Amino acid sequence: MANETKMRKYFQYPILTVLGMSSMTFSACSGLVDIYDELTVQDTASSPYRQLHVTATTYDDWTYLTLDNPDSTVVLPIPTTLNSGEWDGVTSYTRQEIKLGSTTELSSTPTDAQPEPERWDLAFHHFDIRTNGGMAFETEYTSLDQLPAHWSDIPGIEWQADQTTKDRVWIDLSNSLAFNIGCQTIDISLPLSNMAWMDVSNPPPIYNVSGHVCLLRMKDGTVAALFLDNYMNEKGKKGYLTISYIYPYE
Amino acid sequence: MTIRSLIFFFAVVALAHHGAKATTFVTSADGTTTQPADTAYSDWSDKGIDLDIVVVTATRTPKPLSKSPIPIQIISANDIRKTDATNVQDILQRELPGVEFSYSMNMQVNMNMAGFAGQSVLFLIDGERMAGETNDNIDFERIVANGVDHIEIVKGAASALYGSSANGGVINIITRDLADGTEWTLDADGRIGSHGERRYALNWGVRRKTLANKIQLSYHGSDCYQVHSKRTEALPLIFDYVPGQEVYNVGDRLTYQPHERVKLTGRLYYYYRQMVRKQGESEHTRYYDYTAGLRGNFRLGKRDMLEVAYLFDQYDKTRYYVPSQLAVSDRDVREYSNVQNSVRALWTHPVEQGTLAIGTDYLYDYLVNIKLGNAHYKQSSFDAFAQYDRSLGDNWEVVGALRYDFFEIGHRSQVTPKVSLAWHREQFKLRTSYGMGFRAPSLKELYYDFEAMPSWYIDGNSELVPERSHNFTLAADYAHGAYTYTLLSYYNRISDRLTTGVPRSLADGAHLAYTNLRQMSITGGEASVQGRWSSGWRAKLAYSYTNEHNPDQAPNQFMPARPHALNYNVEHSRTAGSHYSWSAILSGRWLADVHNDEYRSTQHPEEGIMRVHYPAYHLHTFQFVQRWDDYISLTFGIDNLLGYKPDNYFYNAPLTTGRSYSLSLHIDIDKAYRHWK
Repeated sequence: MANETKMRKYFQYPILTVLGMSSMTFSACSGLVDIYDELTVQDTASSPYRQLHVTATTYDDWTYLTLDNPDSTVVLPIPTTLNSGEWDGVTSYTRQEIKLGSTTELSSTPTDAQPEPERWDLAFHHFDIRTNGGMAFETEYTSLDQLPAHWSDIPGIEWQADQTTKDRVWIDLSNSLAFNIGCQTIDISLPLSNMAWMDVSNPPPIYNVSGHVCLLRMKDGTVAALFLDNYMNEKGKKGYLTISYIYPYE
Repeated sequence: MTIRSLIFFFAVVALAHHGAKATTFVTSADGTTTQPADTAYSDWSDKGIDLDIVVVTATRTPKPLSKSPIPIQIISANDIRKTDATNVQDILQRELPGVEFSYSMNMQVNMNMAGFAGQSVLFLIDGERMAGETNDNIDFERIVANGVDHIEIVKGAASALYGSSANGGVINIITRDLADGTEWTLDADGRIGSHGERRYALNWGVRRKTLANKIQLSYHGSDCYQVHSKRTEALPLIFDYVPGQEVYNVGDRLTYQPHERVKLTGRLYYYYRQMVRKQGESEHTRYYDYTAGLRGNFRLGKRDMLEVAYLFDQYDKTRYYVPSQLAVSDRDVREYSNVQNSVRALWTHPVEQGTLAIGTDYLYDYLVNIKLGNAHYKQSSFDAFAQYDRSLGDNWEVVGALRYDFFEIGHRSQVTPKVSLAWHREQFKLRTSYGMGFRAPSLKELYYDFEAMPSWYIDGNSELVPERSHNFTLAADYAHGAYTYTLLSYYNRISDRLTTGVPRSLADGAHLAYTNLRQMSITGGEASVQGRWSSGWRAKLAYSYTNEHNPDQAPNQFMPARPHALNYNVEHSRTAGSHYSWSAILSGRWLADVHNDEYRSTQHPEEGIMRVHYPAYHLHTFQFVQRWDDYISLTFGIDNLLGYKPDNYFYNAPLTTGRSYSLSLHIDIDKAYRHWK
């Protein structure tokens, strides 16, 4: 960003910065205001790639969509009790004590299976992503532009199916200051979920992004390439995902 | 205290006692310094306890320390240099037993001095306020040791002279100036240490006839690292990482003295800090400050003095999105800005047997913060004060001050008085004072609207009233032979203390709102003894006691003050030939354990309150300083000499993972040039 480059120059020439301040146009009452960047999210309308925008700011539901029609989403709540009487053997409500470097399971209670729509490809819960029977792989590419013409030309692909996690899908952060977090035990795609990562083990949250393109192989064998463009809206609120993708990626 | 620490303390005392065998009178109470008979040691340019040092903070008028009617503590330039400290935090903790720095969420720093949190202690730089806050504490990284000449500390309420936030005391940072008659100075400083600690600084001063200019540059940084607690139960107020940071401070001060009666000073200052909490995080918090000031000092008539000053101070916090392929990457977005414009005037007029000081200040305070719903708030405040300082005979001195403050928001007014009485005879000095203090609620405390975590909010409270305190102080100083003794006792009665109150559970989560506590008191005292002997030994022992009494039993927002604390310093200096000298310095501090009542979960107050025990600890530092020809010094330091490692990293635990090492080099280039020339 141009302004950041400008700021770096300030650091390189600190005396000029200080002296230059005196000649800047500013209101003495509200101070220097034009020296920072605006949080305007990059205009992606001209992007050569398709994009999906998911609002996943809440913690108690999953948002489902298909890559064919990503604007049509279905939001379904996360069950926290077992009302059906039949446990699928995985889905649970688990309380974890999560701290940097250590996770301790405090309790785990079986719940109903996570409800799903009839047709979906991906499900989003904040930064967590599930696939509908698909497999994923995190490449070393940092842009969709870098991808070869065919996914089969990418060397060293090791597909990963969704895996059961007990401490990744946070559904109750109301006691997070005591590091006591309610989680859903459920299968998620780790390569896709690691595209953005929020660490609440020592509040406030710390955000990380992988910056890598991920491949998704659907259960019908078709492949998509996905890249996380952003995880916030224009006001800086987290949980607004923008993902550019190529589908089908031959 | 463990057996090992007791043995260690006995060893320190024995060492000091050994050094005391050959004592020679060095410093007298009236400030005269005599040369010791034995000159086989290096005093490292130390003039001992300099009672002639001119202090300004106690009465806002220049006065020799020995004549100050109000108790004032000095951390001298020499003390600061010996600490090899990087910032004011290091200096204060090493020199003052009642000062402790602890942490809060996001590892923001909070100071406690004699039971008053950082928001109730007014920090000044050359008498001027600093904009910006975090947890209502100033950004301590703005005050780097490199530019500090000495620090003046007035404990107890001083609002009659300084207004809001001076109810627990005033810490005035006096920066280094170009000494009279000096044509140019240039010195460089560097330090490296454990956890990637690095520090580089440069000071350059030039004088040409009526103009003098001084530039100060400094950079310091450290890496982030993890710490691991052994806790066996859920304890919320602990941390698991120590953030890394990069800090730049750049200052320039230009002085123009066209006439002996007129002195104009302009200054510019730039500050940048970036905090890195974890390697690979995609967002960093950055802090900036831009300051520009102009001050005129005028001598009117024979002895009248007039000081007029204007200061612009802007303190910003930004969120920096680390360069990546993200749509918002490499952007530096402002989230907080506090802009203060202040104008002040002070007229001092000598009268028979005393001085009359009359002053006024105007402050325009502007705040924009995304945690205020991205709104901006502004407030004007105005004050006027007068102080009369008068000698009564040869042994008595009395000071009376009265101040009126007006705040635009709520149209609040505040009148604060202060009276001090001092009596001295030869080497003994007795001082007593009553002062009132207050702290007006900040714009943040009035209007905050912040979702700190999902389902956890911190709310402002527009109904807040100012916190007030009544402070009574009794102090005694006595100098005899090589020793100086000081005693200070105080009582503070505080009403409407501003803090966060009882969390409330609402539909969208827990809300923690600012509130006024009803009443509390703080009783305490300090005692110190220091000695300096001709054999090259010097020692200092200081103890502080603090007792917070809070009948409301409201859980403390921050870490409580430790009831007992002890600081010591023992050093020995020698010369070897005419070009080389060395000093060995052992210093340390011990802080007693303390209990605190806290919510089991601030997000779920219904779970009740628990009593948390914060253990005692002691840390010791050894430094070996070598000097060549008085212009190069090399310091090797071992921090945490005994390798203390906290079992649990509570917010008030020291930031240590065990013994650590540092090496620093200081070169006075101007002195080297003159030496070789």
